[in-house]
Amino acid sequence: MGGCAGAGGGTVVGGVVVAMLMLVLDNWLAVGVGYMLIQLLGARLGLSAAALMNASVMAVMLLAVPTYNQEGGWYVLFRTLWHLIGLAIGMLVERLFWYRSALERLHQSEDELIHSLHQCCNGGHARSAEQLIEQYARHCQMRQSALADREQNHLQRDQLIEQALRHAVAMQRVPEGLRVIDQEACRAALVELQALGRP
Amino acid sequence: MTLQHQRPRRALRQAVIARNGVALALLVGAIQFLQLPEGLFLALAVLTVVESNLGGGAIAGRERLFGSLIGLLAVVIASGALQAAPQPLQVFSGLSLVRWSGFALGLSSGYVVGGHMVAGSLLHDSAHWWHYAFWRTVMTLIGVLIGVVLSRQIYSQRATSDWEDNCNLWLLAFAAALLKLAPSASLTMPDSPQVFERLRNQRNQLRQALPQLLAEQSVLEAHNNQALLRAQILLQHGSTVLSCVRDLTALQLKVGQPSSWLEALPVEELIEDGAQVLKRLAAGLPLEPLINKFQPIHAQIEARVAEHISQSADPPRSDRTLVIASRLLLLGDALSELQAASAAR
Repeated sequence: MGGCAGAGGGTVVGGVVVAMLMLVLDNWLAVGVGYMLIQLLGARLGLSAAALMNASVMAVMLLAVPTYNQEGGWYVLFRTLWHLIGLAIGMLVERLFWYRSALERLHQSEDELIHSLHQCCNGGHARSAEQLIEQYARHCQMRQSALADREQNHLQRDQLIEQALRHAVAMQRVPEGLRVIDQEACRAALVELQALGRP
Repeated sequence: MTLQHQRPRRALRQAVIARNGVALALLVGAIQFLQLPEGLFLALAVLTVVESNLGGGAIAGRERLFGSLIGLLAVVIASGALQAAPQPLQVFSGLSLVRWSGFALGLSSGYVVGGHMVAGSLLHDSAHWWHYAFWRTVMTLIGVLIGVVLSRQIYSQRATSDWEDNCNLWLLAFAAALLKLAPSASLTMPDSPQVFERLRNQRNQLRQALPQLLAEQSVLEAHNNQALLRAQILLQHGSTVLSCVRDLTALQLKVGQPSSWLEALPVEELIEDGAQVLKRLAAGLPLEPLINKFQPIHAQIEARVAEHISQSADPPRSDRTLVIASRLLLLGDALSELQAASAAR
């Protein structure tokens, strides 16, 4: 949905700015002036980089393509509508044929992470500290989008996963003689996680 | 971010906006004057590259160029080999080819441009698809090249500078957290878990920006990867320092240590020297006067730990003192590596 808002919002802002500018300045100079106005106004409005890009594309499209130029404000409206219809169809196709909820994807990512942590504890083919950190960062990103409202049980699970990960990463880094401390702590966190069960 | 950092950044951003506006106007003027075929795509390719910093622009330009090339290939196959097939089948084949090729080439957004190429050629310009697809690709190539030159030569906004500014703020933030751990700072409140979560997110953002540094090097000096190597070292050892500070905060390092052997460890020295190294790193100051300071501290802690373990009959167990000692060893090691990497710069 973020992409949808970026595409629609940016197109409308850029389109409106340039369509109004075209009333007073209708030549190649208008692209540059329009671009600068969009960037300055967009920054004030707090538009994202993606929305700003869409808005700037509108400046080029409206002023560099004669057919679109003749349509003016109508082109802004039609382009926005087609954008929205296209996004809606895309989302519908995904939902009908390849739909996996964010929570399902989160569970799979969690399973993979726990598997990596078990491998670390059991001394098998373990991932390096950097790889574990990267895997956890991806998992956190997914968790953020999947769980708008975090339940208490999730919070507890997250804490245990993070605890296990800290010890697994430390295991790869501490001197040999002290490794067993983190190994035990990682294992204990994983056992507690298993006992907690999935909500 | 401090006010001192914000001013030059804002001034550079405004200069970049003016540069892009002037360049776009002149390019569109030139395209109209020369009546370049499909010149719109030259302007769009320039815009794609100059919107971001040099590294980000190089990645965006590469995606756009590869996307256009696979789009052209898909159009040629779909229109040539499937000439007799109905148009929906041609479009379906073209779009599928673009998507598969995008996966194979590891494109993250370029396949969208390839899809536009297929749709534009087969649905919009089906009578002159070759003219449209060919000139669109040529104009994209020229646009990407102009964009990279512009982004590199005039008011160049470097991904490396952005990355270093953000990294310096990150280093300063955990230097402050480290200082709060010193036994002499017993009246200062320790940092909350939320502070460390924020620092971890900052670290993750720095990691995500590494491909930009690599792309930037590729358009600057192909043989020089110093900036990228330094960034990786800072991230790797900085992450270790960060997790040690977080663990030592959670272990309440400065709250009365029950074990006499732990009390004798040079904790205060390690923390103060460590914070000094981090601050000097962030300020870009030379580190020679501190060389080898961590190695004796590390050796001292290591000897104490070995002595403690040899005195106990059982293998080491998870008692607080040993975990603290292991994190102090890690901290000393990571600080030493950071110092060595910066001294060798």
